[in-house]
Amino acid sequence: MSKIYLGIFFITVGVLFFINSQQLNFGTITNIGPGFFPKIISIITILLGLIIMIKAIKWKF
Amino acid sequence: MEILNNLLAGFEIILTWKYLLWCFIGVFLGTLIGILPGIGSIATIAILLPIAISLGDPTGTLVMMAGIYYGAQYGGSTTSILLNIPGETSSMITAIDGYKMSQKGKAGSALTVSALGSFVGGIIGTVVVCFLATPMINSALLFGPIEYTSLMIMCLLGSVFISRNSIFVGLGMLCTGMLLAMIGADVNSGTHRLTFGQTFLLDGITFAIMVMGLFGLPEVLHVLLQNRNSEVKKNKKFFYFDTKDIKQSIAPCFRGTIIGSILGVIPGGGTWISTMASYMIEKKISKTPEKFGTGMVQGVAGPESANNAAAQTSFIPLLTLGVPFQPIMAMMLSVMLMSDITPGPQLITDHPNIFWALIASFCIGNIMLLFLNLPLIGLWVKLLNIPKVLLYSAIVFFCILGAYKINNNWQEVVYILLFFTALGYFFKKIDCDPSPLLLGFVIGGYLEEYLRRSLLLHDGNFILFLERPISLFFIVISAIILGCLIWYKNKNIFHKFLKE
Repeated sequence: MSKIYLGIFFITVGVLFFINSQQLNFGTITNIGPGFFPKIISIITILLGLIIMIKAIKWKF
Repeated sequence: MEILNNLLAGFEIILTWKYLLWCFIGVFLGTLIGILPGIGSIATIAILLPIAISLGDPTGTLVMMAGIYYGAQYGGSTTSILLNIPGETSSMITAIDGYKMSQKGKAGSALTVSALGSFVGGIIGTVVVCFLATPMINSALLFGPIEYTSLMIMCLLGSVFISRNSIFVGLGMLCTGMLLAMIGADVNSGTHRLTFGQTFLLDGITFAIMVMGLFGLPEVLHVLLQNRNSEVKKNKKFFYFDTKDIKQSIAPCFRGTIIGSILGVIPGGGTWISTMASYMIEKKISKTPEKFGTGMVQGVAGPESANNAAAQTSFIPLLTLGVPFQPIMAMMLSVMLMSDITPGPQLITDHPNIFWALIASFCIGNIMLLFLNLPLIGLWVKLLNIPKVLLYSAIVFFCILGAYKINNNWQEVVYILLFFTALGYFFKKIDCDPSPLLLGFVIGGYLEEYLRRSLLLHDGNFILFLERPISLFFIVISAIILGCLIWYKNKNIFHKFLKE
């Protein structure tokens, strides 16, 4: 159960930061902007949260 | 010879009343909080952080912080020996045999061996720091942004490795920390980002308040809300010790020191990995391995020396490369930055007196702790019998006051401290280790900065990360760490070890 909560927590964090980084400039690969890191990392956080949740649910049943 | 001269200059700075007093206050307070059941060294440092920062003298702050750190470690081993309530993973190993020894009425022996072992480990660890610092700095001078980027990726993965979590949880913690670090002004463009429309977030999250909320208060609250008896039962032979035990612990002590000194420097190492390694080695080479876990003095001496040696040598990457490999070193890094010192290869040339004074203070601090712990152990034990509610409430009160003193901003205290305390308590309840978050928070900003710089300098050429030899080396190590993490998957190495 605790893993599910943790998954929800990571997904919430990821979504919140992703929404808030929308207006930030992504930049190009040679000159990455202020939005590059927040967007990428928040997506990774959401993915990790999903993996944790799916694993926890699968393990339960 | 040059090292000796520099070290003497360091001692000259430290051996003044002002710094001796601050060093003493550091080790004293560190032991005081660290000895409290269930409070580990990260929590102790988090609680005492405001006091050290408020000194306003960079050398003094660092000396005090270092003192608090190993004070907390000595204190932690005392509680795990007497009460079997270790505050952190590294003292859990000491608790295995140390507590059994104290149940057998050999608490005096266990405490003496633990203090002496820590002392030897600490002093030899400091010598290692002295001699390794200069060559490390020379190699660090060759590093460009590309090397730093790979180095940081390596130590972020290392922090996932040393935390008790499974790989995904650890990585999630890491990413959360990095996201939190991005709140506030962006270094390159100056734009405010991710402030959620709050004015108090414009300058970013204050590190000291965050760690206090995440690590300090939850541990205090957890103990406070738990009804656990922490009375120390004394018997007549409590403070006596056997010279036989001391003799038996000499060899394990030196073996532990060597293991600790090596494992303290490498990423993914650190105190608890080295205590575990030392315990396993002692068990392997012992003639009576089946007796481990029933109160073997070797099981206390080895891990304790390894612990303190690793605690000293883990300063090497921080002081020479400017990159922390362990959560506690991440806190040290933040403290240095708050006192306007940038650790790294420039530290020894820009601020030689701070560097050598810090190393000299390692020696002085360890000597002070030996005196503070051996003759005065009875005093610390009495402390454990003070009503818990009184003691812990006082700590909570001073925490909040200290958090306010950092920026004189109540808004910060109310929102940030409350938020992170709730979060930290949640992590504590579900038994999840938030230490990768701490490293992500401290290193995340640097990683972004260096990655940006290296891509800007080399026209977005990612292949360069694999072409430069030093960078390739770090990437290979990162891959190995990641491989180990996937190999262990969800199996918790630590719990598996404890069951054995």
